[in-house]
Amino acid sequence: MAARHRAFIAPRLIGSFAALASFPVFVAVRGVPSVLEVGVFAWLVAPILTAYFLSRTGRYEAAHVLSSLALTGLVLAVALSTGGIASFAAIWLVIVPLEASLSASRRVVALASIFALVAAGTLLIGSAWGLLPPPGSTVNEHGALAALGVVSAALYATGLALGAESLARTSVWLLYAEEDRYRLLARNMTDVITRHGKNGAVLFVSPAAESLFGVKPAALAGHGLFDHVHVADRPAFLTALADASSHGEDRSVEFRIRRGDDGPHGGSFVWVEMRCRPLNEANTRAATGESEVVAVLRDISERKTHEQAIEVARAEQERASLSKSRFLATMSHELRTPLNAIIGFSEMLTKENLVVQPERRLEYARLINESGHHLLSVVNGILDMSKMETGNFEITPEPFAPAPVITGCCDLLALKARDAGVEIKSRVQDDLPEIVGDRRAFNQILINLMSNAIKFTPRGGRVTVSAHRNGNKIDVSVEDTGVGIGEADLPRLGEAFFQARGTYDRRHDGTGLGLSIVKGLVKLHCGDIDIRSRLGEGTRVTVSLPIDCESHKVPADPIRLVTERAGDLAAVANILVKKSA
Amino acid sequence: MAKTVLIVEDNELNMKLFHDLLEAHGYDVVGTRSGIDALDLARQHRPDLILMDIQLPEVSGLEVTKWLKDDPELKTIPVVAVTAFAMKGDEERIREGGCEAYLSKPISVGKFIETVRHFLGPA
Repeated sequence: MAARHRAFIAPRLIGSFAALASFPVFVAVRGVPSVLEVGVFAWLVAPILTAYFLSRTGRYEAAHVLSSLALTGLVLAVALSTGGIASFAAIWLVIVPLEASLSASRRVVALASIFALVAAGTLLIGSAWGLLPPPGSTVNEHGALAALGVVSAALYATGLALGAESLARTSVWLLYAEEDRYRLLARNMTDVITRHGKNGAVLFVSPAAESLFGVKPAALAGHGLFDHVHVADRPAFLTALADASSHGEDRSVEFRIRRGDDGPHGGSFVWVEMRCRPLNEANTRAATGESEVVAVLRDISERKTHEQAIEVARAEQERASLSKSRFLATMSHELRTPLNAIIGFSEMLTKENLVVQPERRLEYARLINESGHHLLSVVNGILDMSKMETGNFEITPEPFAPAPVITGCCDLLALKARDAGVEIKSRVQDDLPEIVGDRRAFNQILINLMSNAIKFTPRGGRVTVSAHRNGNKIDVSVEDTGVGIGEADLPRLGEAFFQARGTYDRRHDGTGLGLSIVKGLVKLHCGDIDIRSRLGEGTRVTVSLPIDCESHKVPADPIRLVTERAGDLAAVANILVKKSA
Repeated sequence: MAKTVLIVEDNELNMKLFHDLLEAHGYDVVGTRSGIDALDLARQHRPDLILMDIQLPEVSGLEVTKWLKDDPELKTIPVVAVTAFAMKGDEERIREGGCEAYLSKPISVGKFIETVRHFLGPA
């Protein structure tokens, strides 16, 4: 565009300034110019005005029309006063459409031709009817002027031809540069460009396809590309192409493509995004209303991987958050239950208008004390777990004989078992070796497991404790004939406060922390815990502890009991404190 | 004739607390720790009010409340939930479950008696 403007403005400025510059020379040679001659010279300034018009408005065609009009007017004026159609100037009318042809606009050329023809017609009519003043020059003079007219017109036409040629060359050069740029882009672009026929068949594939598909672009022509699309994604692929083709709208679709050849192993799949749009060429749009489609395919496997990672993290976060709030709700419940008895009974004792018998006062004091102890055990359990989670729970390993500890636990729980109507049996290997471990922790493990067993065993059932050596470990199992644990609940067993079978219809009281603590303590001893259970038949928990826990490496990472991520008990405790404050 | 209150509560100490409190205020008390027994006791004693713990062995207090409210003869008996579920949203969920009132543990003795009186009037 700029080149055309330059080609329009430059010759006009040069011509006009040359004409103006020649005016003094003209005056020197011819003496005082006639009115007509002054008019002609004034008229020669017109190209400067049209050039100015173009540079200000940018209206290229209008500038050409103005230019043609100006030229026609000048030629007409000169010719009318110098002999009409026979004037030396009349030849210049030929130049008018010629000059207009540079505009590359049919409209401008047509107008210019009309101007020239009208001017020629005016001269003809004027000459024929003798309306024109006679040429005021001699025959000799006329011959010289005619020669001047022809030569100057020829020179001017030559200039125009050169201008047109240079303009054409510029256009071609621009075209090449543009094409080179596109070629460079296409070669270096990782996105694949395809063109699809009305039936979806591939008509063109850009070279980038080779790195994306792992096959030669030619192999993708026709239905080659379709064969590489994952079977499950083919409907979406075809729908997008068909929509773009028949509805004339842009479509975007994500699907998987198979990379590499069609082998027995199938190759790996890559996620790509395809944006397709109908080709906007009037002639491809047939009477059926369908058109060809251009599509850009881009490898989005990295984005997909990120998306999936985010989705996994989000689900994990959600699970952790759910687990945390359930933990919080249960902990709140477990703390409020004994607090209810403590606050309730103490309030009854202090209410003046409530008459309480002296023996009841004593009983209430005892119940408050009992609830306080229960609350303390819940708080201790939470603290123990918190310590184990943060890795601050310390065990003090010392050599001790496990058999007497087991007997002690059986004795301790005998009363509770009798109340529950459950029989306790113990089968301990006679020559059970001494082990190195934390005696208090070992005791705690047994008490928690046995309490659980008694709690979950109906009247008339049996709890069996057995211990025997197994290589460099001892296996301690607690087996009951109780309610058992459903398969679905087994993995969650040992999660803090978790009792199988949902939250509201809990069968049995207790803090729900016992097994979590056992798990933590066993882990601190580098031991293993194994739970086998069948609903309605009973449960067996086997703890295997190394005979010398110190010879095993202490686990470096803190133990996660609540959840993998949200197990920050300290934070939970903080929230509780704030809530009650 | 004294008004009768049915207490459904699985924690022994809390049962004793509610029992003694109501008795001291002159109400007759029937108690059970099982939600399943609660329905039979309600039919048998026709209590004027039921205090319902939500976390119960075997079946939850919400479930028992649903059974009570589905029974044409028992649905007029008001049910007051007395529960240690006191997190955000628990009260709404429990009231939606059909309970006429909600008391969170630990209770305040004054509020507890006031609520019972609201439904029964003085004994």
